[in-house]
Amino acid sequence: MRRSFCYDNKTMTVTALEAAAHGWGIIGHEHALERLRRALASQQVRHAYLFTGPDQIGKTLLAQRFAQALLCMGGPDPRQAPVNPCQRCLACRKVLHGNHPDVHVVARPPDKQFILIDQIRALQSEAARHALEGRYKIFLILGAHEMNSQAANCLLKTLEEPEPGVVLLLTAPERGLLLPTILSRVQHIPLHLLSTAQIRQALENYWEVEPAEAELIAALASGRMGWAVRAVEDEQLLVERREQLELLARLPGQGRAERFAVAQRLSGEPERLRQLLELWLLWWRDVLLMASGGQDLIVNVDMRELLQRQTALLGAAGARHMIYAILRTLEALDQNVNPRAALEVLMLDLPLLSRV
Amino acid sequence: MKFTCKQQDLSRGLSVVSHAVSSRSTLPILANVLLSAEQGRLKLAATNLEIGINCWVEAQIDEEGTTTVPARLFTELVNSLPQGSVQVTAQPDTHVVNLQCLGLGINTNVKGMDPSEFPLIPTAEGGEPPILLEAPLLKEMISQVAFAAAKDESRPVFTGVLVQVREEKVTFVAADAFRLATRTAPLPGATEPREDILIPARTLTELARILPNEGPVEMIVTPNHRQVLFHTEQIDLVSRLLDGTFPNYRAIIPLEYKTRAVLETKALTERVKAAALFARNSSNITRLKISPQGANGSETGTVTIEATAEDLGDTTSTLNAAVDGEEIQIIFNVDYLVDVLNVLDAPEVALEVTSPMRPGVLRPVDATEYTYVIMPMHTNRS
Repeated sequence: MRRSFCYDNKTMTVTALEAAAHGWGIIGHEHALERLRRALASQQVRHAYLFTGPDQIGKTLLAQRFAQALLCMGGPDPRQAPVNPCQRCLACRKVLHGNHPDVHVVARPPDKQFILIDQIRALQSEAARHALEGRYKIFLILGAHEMNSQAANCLLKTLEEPEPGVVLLLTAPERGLLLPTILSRVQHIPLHLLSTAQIRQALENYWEVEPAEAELIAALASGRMGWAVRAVEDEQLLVERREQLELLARLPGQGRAERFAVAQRLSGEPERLRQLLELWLLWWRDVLLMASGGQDLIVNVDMRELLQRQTALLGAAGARHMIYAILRTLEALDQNVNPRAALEVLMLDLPLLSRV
Repeated sequence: MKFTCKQQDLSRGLSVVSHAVSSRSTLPILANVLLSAEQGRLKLAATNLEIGINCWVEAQIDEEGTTTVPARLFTELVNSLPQGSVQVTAQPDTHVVNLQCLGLGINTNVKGMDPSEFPLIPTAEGGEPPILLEAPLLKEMISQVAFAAAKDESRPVFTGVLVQVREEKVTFVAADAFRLATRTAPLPGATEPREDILIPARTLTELARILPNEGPVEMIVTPNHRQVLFHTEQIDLVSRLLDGTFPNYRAIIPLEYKTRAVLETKALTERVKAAALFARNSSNITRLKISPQGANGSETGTVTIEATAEDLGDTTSTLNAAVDGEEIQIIFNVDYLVDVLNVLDAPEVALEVTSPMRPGVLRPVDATEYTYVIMPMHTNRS
């Protein structure tokens, strides 16, 4: 969660980015930005907003920037929230570093399954008080779909009768994951995947990434700017992806003993398993695209050769077979099937090729 | 920033402000202590947004400035040092704080945070004229009242202590659904009535802990009426005030009684605590029977305290008392009696009751203006 706040690790570039985007420092999401800026300009800020979109797309960052704008003291009239956060005043800096006493972050505790009712009650007692420094009291509820039903129902009271000056900013992957009673009480701002060109350009302009690398990262990011920025800042991420992919891509050429050994090893890290399977899913998507003549849309552009070889051997039908097999495995994992057993089944589903 | 001070002074100051450092805050800056070298003194400050504490420490200031350091780390570090001179230097751009014990070869660097992001703790300026109280009196008033405030947050006004200033007197009141404690002290010169304020009981308990044993304390409400400041020569404590209206507590205090018993505080406390041992196992039920002189053939008035626990046994104690009025039996929650008897130091207390269904009153029999109202319990058994 913290990671996605880290667009600003490279100070130089971010200054340029902020200048280009009126201090918001957000790539894309023009439609969402426009709506928020219009609300700020007309002084008609609603009491609750819901930002939805896939992971690492910039929901939290956008919510945080909106909070900065609401509390920014750098505007022409200090009593009013400016249309854009200035990123220079003390209030903007405090929000950026998580030190603003009027911005509260509510998220699922790492050791719990849900956002619990006690967290919402604490939010409510905090909301009943005056703001300490700013014009608004802002609550960021990150991953609002992770509230259990008690917590969600408890939040309704605040969504229905918010205290003056309270602004709730919720994020969730999809609106369908929230209670209808919550949806009807928030302004919904959907965020969409960015285009690969948008990401590539942003990486080249603001993060000073070499064009070839930018193209690869932009393709791999599949529309998620947050992931792209992470890949730029954390080189290990790309190295790891390559290692994982090579391991997976070699599997069809290997016998059962090797496959089961891999399954055993992978099931030892259940938290990374899902991510790995999604990576593999993307691989087979590329194979399917290759087989059906969609070469331009493939994501794993750096491993084109291996893709081509597997496509020639397996074709569209083989890729489809694997995609369904992986989806079944993901579903099984969600239903608490033993990871090793699920993986072994998947390994048996994988066609055996004599040469890869 | 650069200053030199004694290890003991710094350690004492840090232990005072650490009362306000929050252990589990979402704001990283709040886990820090603000060090501020200013006008010949060193100011330490910490806050958890509920309360904030400033503490001033003697120091030789070589260069004025401000910085923050992680509270726990720095406190434990300073406590680990031998007594003697400590020199602290901070780089304004990197927020790294260097600490040296001169001549002992100890050199430590601690990474701090940008002090400008530290929340403002209001100072005494611009508020209403202060209310002046002596520290021992204030401590006594807090200890006699704050315990009666509600612990659960379901009704926020009851977690606070009401402070009223009327006719040269200051009154502290706290109540939950079953009891009420009020203490009044003279406040010469305060003829102007002030707006009532509600201070969180937790804050006052914290204040009582850090107040010096003597000297005056100034109580000041900030101009926006949202905070209250307790100012002493070396320590400032700021607390948020609670919103809401405290109910009219005077209506709850019974104006008359049918039976009044005056008892020795010490003896009563001992017997009530003994009854508590049994009562704890049966919903805290403790029966008090007040009998005037002559009833049951006794030569003096008596108060009988009785508690029964089905699986433990029972206890009955009879105390001699000066009883005025008719015989009466009443049931109280033993915890509510123990709480109040723990904080009264008058040699004698008076217990006044009207009927088994109406609240009873406990007061010390001396010059202290203190009233404790306690709701009786009812059982289906007679």
